[in-house]
Amino acid sequence: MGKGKLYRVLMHFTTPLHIGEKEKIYNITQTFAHSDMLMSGIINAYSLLYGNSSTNQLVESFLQKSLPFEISSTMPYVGNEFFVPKPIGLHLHLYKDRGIIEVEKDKEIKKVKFIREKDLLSNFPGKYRVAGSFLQPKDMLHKFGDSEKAPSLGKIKERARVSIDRLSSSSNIYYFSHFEFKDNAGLWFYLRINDQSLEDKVKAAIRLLGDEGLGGDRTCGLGSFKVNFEECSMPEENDRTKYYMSLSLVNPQSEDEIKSALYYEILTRSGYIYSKAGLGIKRKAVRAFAEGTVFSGKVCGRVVDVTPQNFSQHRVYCFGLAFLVPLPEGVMMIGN
Amino acid sequence: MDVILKGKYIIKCKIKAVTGLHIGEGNNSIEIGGIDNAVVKDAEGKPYIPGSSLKGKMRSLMEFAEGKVKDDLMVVAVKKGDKPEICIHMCDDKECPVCGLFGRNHGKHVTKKEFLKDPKAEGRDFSDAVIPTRLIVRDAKLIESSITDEMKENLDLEWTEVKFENNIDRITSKANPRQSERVPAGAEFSAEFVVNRYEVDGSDDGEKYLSKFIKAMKLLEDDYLGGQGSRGNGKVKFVDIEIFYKDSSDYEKDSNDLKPIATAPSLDQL
Repeated sequence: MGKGKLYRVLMHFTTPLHIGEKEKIYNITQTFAHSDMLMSGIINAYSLLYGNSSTNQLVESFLQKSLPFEISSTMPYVGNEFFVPKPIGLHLHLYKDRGIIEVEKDKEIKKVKFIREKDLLSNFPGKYRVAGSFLQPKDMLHKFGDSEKAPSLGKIKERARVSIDRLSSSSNIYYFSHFEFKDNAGLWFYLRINDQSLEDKVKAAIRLLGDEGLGGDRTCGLGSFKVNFEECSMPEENDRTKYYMSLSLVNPQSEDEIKSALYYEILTRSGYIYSKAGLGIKRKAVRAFAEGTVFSGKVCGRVVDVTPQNFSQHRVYCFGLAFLVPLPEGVMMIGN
Repeated sequence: MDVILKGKYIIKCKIKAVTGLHIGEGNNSIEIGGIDNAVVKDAEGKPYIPGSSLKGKMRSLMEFAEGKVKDDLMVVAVKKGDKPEICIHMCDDKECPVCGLFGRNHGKHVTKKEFLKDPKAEGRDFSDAVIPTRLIVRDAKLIESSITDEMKENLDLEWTEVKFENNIDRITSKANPRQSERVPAGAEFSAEFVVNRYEVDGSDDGEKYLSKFIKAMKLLEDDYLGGQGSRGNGKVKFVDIEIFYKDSSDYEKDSNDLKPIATAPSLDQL
């Protein structure tokens, strides 16, 4: 974890969003972009603005572990409330037994995917209840002006697409699903800038990414967003910090780092290359610890070379550096 | 290849439906002249014009206008057995205005001519010519106030009308009626287009693709959008056009105060 300036970057989507086939958008968890995808978008935008050679320099500094900037994965926000993924291994049943979380049925607890950041980082002062996949303070429902049930981020829609033969006008129909965010909801991520000289350029790249779009079908109007940079700070860690949660994908760089993962989930990240030199070529698949993985100490992670064979124009990397937040003292984990 | 973004031309305008507009939802069938069709609606239940419909139609019209609809210039996009089912234009000519503006696909492509000769032909890789697509077309959202209360009184649904259509058997006079949903004439949509200005290996696009895009807009005005266009639907007009230029250096600034470089009430006056 660097010590640079920290920003909360708000992405307010002005158009619907489509994120890859593997994350077919059926529920809320699958509507956000992982850190490797976000980073690849930022680097691509950077390269559009500043050209190949300065982009190579930037990528090189990531490989040398002198991180010019760090990012987390994207996470949902509704109104002014920022959510983070539930730490894997958080013992919510224990919180229920102590009267902190109220539920009607035990199985509701299983559905919790997101927790307000400030609740998690202050170890749940107050009373909470489960609303869909969100865990939120008991008296917060009215804030979203939603139905009784849960705050909603938006809706999934399917759009029909058709290609038409130029001469015979015969048609071929296919479907594309996308997610439409509500006006007061969207995605956010952390951006920590360690190299001040790059601050303007990185921000410019993120603004450009907003205009270019994130995810699929961008040239047909999907995935564009407006950005807002909010300066913020993170709670200081101290000697008694026992757990660190990752807000990004982590690809461990050593065996020690693998061993320090206490509660984890493993994702396979694959997909296609998108760059000026190559489109639609499959990159190598890698596995990474998902967001919400809890580590016993600080880990760094690494950038993985996933260049496919027979692709020589440039190297292709998958971003797997960790963005950690220290969990507060007294947080209750399973088996502890 | 080195591609650098010089800037973006952002074209903001309204799309006015001069006649009823029908862009199918596709639950049943989206074929031209399809039946019992609903129109596409967003998550709020309001009709909109998908960016893909606009872009696809403009591309198709440009292909005809630039003389690209020829067997040796079209590639097979979908094949059915040994027949080329859907053919569209795509090429590896770096100067091609259609591919340059609307984009190329990756992978290998077989031209229609080659395919007709040999359905098993391997095809060619266009990768050398592929660069990021210059044109971005956003969804055009309905301007709610354009559907006035007076219009609403005569509409069958909240935002749309239902048009009855009929097939009549030539001998028995048996009727075969069907319904089709349309956005009423007079509705307006707010549209936004982005044309990227690139510098590819040192040569600057300048305004070349912007002027090609304006040509595509003009072509669309004289054609139609959506379904049943040869029977009156889908005439659209671009009004209140504003063109902005956003230089790539503007991205390093916080504010987004752009002044239009050109404005016009309609395309003819641009």
